[in-house]
Amino acid sequence: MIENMLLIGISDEFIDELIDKIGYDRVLNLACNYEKVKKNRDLLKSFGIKDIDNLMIKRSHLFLEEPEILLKKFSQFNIPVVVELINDDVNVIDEIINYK
Amino acid sequence: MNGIEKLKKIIEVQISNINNTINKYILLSSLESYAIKLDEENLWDLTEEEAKYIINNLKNISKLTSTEEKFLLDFVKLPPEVKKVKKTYVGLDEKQLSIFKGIKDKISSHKEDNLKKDIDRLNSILADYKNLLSKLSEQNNMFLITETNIISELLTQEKISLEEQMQIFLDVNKLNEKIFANYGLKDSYEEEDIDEDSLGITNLSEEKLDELFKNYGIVWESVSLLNSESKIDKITKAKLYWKAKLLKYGDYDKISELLEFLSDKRLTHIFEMPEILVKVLLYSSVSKITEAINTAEENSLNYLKIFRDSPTLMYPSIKERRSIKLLPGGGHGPRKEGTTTSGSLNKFINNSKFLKDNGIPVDVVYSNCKDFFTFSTKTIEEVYSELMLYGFSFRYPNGEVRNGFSCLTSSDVMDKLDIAIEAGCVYYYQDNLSKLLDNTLNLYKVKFARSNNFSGSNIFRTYRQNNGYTSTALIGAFKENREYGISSDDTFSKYGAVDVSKELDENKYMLYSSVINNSDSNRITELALNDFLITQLDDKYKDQNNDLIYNFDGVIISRIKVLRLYQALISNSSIEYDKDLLVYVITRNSMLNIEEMEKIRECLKTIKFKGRS
Repeated sequence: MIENMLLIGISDEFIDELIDKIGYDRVLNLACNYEKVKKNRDLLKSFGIKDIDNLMIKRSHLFLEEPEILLKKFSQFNIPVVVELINDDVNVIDEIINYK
Repeated sequence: MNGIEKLKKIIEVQISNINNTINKYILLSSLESYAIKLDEENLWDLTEEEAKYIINNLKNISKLTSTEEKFLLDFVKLPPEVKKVKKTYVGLDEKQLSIFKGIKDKISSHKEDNLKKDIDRLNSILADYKNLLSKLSEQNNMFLITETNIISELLTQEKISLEEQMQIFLDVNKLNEKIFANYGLKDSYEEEDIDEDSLGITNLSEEKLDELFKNYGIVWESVSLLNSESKIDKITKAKLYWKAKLLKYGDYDKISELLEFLSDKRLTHIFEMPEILVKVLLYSSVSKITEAINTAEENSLNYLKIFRDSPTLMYPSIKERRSIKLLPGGGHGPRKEGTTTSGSLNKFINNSKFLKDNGIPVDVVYSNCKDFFTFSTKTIEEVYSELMLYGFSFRYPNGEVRNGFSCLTSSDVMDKLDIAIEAGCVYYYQDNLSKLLDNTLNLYKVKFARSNNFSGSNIFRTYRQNNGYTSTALIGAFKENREYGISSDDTFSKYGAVDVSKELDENKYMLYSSVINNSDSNRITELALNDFLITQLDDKYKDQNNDLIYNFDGVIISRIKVLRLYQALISNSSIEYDKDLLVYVITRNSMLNIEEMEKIRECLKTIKFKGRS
């Protein structure tokens, strides 16, 4: 089941690192939703976020969010500006996600 | 409050009272003889210096009233010739006699206490109480609680009702049963992971299983493929691994019941997830999943959504054998057989209850942190109480719930907060709770930069959130700044920080560190707050506007650190009161240069230990 992560281009090595850093179950839940995870990875990469793997370690729950909702959240901001802030300090993404 | 907590509180108050009595005794035995022998005759010869001595030395014990103080100070300042005439012809008037009697009574009653109290007996009682407190407090305590006489005397002395006494003894018995369980003599009351080896072998027929699965649209290849020479992809291989496990341990009736239940509840998405499905069929049950569904619905959560986002919530915690890497981090590396745990059904139920009990809306936490229900409940509870100790809040002033519940899985939270307090930036953690997860964050650097008058606006960026409250972010350029160091060790070296372990006796340092490393050191009660030494520290050095800090002549130290470490140490019967104890709790984990250490030492000279500086 965890092997589903391979379907979205995540390597064996990074799967091991993820399990090591965030625990088996959190990785298993991501693997069970691998299609959604891939869409979110592609979306965030398209915005210009540099270290997607690091974001996956630090904020794994974001990748379980609906891609349409992630897109809507980011669209309320000047994306290049917020992406620069996120690349500087990953915590800033919390403000984007929880904006009401 | 449960019986154990109530009993601990009673013991702590007793320890505090006995300590104060011992200190009173020792202090008074050190009062100069002119104070102890003061009477109406020699009052006329008392000098101003002697009067001030009496006032200051009774301050912490039986403080003189302002009237009594004024009387003494005015009296000693009378011109000698006036005193001579008054003494010979008038003496003290009625009002003066009454005030003076009050002063004498305060000195005399302590003299009587001094005569009455048996210091060795008090120390012996103190040791018994500390031992008992330690057994009640230590998580891994292996010693049964057998001090029923002491407990009974204490509860009677404190006039605890019979009903409450019974509850306390019942809770002590339960605690003893838990201690027994640690010996392996009895089943533990703690919930344990299910061991995958605990399942009985059933050797279910593959044909029978395939037939049952077909009714639900589940079609899996034959397990015989695992042994054939045909090449199969990793995903199919994994699926057949799980099928083989189900065939080896599965119970047909249970599988049938669960498949029907899952279908009925529209949880068929897991039919396409072999690992999840097999774990549910082997380890979960209709009643357990129903309980999880009820928990979700009671907390306004859509169970279909949460079980889709986190299918591992559908089965309880299982200990599994797995190939794990020997070395942490990414990349290939040597592996060995190890165990991991999987399954969060009980954590989901327990963590939801925890949030509800603390008035935090479960659905809001879930929407901000979908992983929350996979966290260990014990860790969440501990970190939460540690954050409360430091006055943190999970709500904004307007009641809105903050983000960052993932911080409840952080390690060494209290040490991180102490460092932030001493760097003057604990608000950074309050604004960014999830930063507590970052073990590489070096906030010592902020203290260093500020001591060099580095502008705060070049360290933190403040911005306004949409809810109207401001927040702070650490500026990237400052993080990369090498002048103040990158790692903590680098910053310490550039700052010229002393090795605080060398600032006190080596054996004591090792003893204190050993006690702290083996205790939680996350409690602050009257035991510390009413302590003779702590009340002096609070009186002289607690910041008037900020309960979190002590200010030792400009050196800022986390007061919460001092209190919690101090409490942990004095709860241990092998720790004695002396200056090194205070040096340790003040300087532990602090970045201090020689000048700062000197200031702390100078300030500690004003603290009276056993009645003397």
